[in-house]
Amino acid sequence: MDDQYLDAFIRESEEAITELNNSLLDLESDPSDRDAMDDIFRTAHTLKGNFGAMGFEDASDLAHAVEDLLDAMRQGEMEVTPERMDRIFTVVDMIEAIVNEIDEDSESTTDTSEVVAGLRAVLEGESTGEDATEDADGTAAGSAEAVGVDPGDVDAGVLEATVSVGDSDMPGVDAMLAVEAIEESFDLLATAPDRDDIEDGAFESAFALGLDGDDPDAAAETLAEAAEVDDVSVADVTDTVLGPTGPGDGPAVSATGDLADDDADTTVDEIKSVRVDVDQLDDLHGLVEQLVTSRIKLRRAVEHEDLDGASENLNELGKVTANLQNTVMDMRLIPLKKVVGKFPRMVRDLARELDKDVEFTIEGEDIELDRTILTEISDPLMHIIRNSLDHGIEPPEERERAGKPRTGHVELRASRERDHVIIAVEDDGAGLDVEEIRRQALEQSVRSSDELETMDESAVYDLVFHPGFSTADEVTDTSGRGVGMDVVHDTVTQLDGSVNVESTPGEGTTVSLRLPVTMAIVKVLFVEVGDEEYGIPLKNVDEITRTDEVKQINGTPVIKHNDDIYPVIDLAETFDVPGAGGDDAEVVADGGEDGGMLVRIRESERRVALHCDEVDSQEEVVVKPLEGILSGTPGLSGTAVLGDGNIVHILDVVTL
Amino acid sequence: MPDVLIADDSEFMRNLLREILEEDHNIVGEVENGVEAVETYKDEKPDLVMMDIVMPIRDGIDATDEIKDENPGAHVIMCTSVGQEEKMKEAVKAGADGYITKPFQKPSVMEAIEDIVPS
Repeated sequence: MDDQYLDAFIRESEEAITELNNSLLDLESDPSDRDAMDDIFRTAHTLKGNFGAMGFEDASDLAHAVEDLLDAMRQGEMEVTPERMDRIFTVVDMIEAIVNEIDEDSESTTDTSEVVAGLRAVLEGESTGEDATEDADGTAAGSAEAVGVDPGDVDAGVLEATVSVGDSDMPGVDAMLAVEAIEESFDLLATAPDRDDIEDGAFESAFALGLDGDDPDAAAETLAEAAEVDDVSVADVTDTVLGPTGPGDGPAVSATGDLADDDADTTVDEIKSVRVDVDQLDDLHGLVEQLVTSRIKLRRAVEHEDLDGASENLNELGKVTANLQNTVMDMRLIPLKKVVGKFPRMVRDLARELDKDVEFTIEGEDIELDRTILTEISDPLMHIIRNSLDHGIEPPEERERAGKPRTGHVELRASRERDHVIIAVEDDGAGLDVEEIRRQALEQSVRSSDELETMDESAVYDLVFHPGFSTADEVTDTSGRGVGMDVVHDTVTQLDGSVNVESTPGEGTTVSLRLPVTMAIVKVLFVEVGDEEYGIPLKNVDEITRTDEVKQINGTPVIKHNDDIYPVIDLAETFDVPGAGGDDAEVVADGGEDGGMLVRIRESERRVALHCDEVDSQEEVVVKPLEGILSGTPGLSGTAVLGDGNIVHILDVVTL
Repeated sequence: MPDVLIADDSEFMRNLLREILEEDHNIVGEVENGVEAVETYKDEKPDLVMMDIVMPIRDGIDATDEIKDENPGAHVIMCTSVGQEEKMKEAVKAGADGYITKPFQKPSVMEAIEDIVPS
């Protein structure tokens, strides 16, 4: 298949799925929302058409079936209920899985016939106006779980059979024949629609049976042998219904599967494609033309040994490359929507799972960020939102008792502040418990009790970013707070951003990320330490001084500035650099002639001064975050490749 | 060739069924009510009974019930017409294995039999 078409198909399908999810959420919150309904139809139709055009018939059938189900809702034949929406969402998830499959393997092996048949069975069952399948809602279309199997009834296992009887004068009789036949060898646990409806033929072409057994092949054979049965599929769904513990244990499981799966589903992949404005492409083309012209001019000047001309051409070349850089940086910008578009669905599922009422709103989704930054913050944002739902928003009854509306509110708000984007996640939940954090911090030896006494609330809140710190009494599947929050902090810091928590007990919590818009070129100050060279981001630097002022306090070298004391960190010692000037600590302490230089860091970053042998030039570099085993190395934020090809480590003054 | 018993109170229907079946089946008897059907079944133990639902003296549903009591492995296909759905459901509860709908067409009859008694 033509890759170009396939890529476009995948991209469009992914967008359509996100759109579909969000329109469905709109519809769920307001069943009379005609616009949402129209959007859903248009999108489902597009998906159906695209799948069909690309030859993915199974997926096309699936989209078609869901379109029909929605049509029944639009016609008012079916009410919009969360359970029915669960069913539709499950199908949308299946469509998404198929798209992912196609993306990876250029083909899909997912068999949709069963789900399609189940969906159709429900559609027919429900369109008779009976609420026969009321208890059949809940989960995957046509699944035995959906037909309301009571786990306590199960002996050997649960099989889910979807039976189709084709065109018939007496569909009810046909169904009965099948049911009677299967009952000779299997206990019937449940049916969808219910049995009376099946026997009345109140389904169009298929119905679902939940059977007690562990041999799907035997069940399929028995059913297929029954008179008038057109098509049968049987699947073992024991694990889905009973959980992995097997039969007999009996605990009913929640309808939406386990959280680990959800995690996998909602993880946003790296953003692989960027849509580029045609104007930007034209700009780019123009700049490349200028680049070529400048090069020719430069070469001519060099050939004629015309130094003035060459220097003039170099200036011109400098301007062109700067423009080029800006244009390319702009092209890497992607609206936040690309990542947060998937969040409403995640919040919905999670809220249902946690039995909480949550309204989720997004503001500023059109704000643009660099592709890499956007990809990186997707997971952290998800963690933060999960935390808000899990720990922030209280259960509805608790909210009511506290005099709050039953429905909690979580808002993701993005705004632009010059070169930065602020993304805040605000909830109106219980807020952080300062005393609990203090207690935990003490218990986990994160801070001493003396330190904790003197900390103000804001500093205490920041402790939640400490690795391994958890305020949840028990770490739940959804989010043991400490588990994610230190990752959030590390990721954002790596991106040269910052994260902050504000909270008011009883009123809510706001987590704000401050991120650079682009993986901007960073101006760094190069310093020499022994044979090594390091870069210090210039914006962190307040002053460069000689080592004369170094004093000793309790054996620690420090300098004073505006009556504040700045401890001196010796880079040679920190990074164990060979060949650094003399016996470092003493040199610093002596403050002698050849004692090197001190770089005093801005107070806002960290009250500290760095000792190095020599301070070199300032230069603009592109900082790449550390990857693999190096990531998370204290004191290092990334690397930069210099003009001569050398690689220099860029310091992270906060973790140094 | 499987043995078949035909039970129908209409001679026309019996003839029609015989025409359809005799090529591939050994017809062991043609009876016109439920009592005869049960007796002949016990005597002949055919592989298949083609049973009309509405018959005098004893209807096909009752007869099917007794035949199935006698031999749960017996195969009974009901001969029905459109509109007899409720009766047919009773027949299924009595143990009928399948049905054909009047007017009979050879392909659909053969298909129904194939489902029950694979050749």
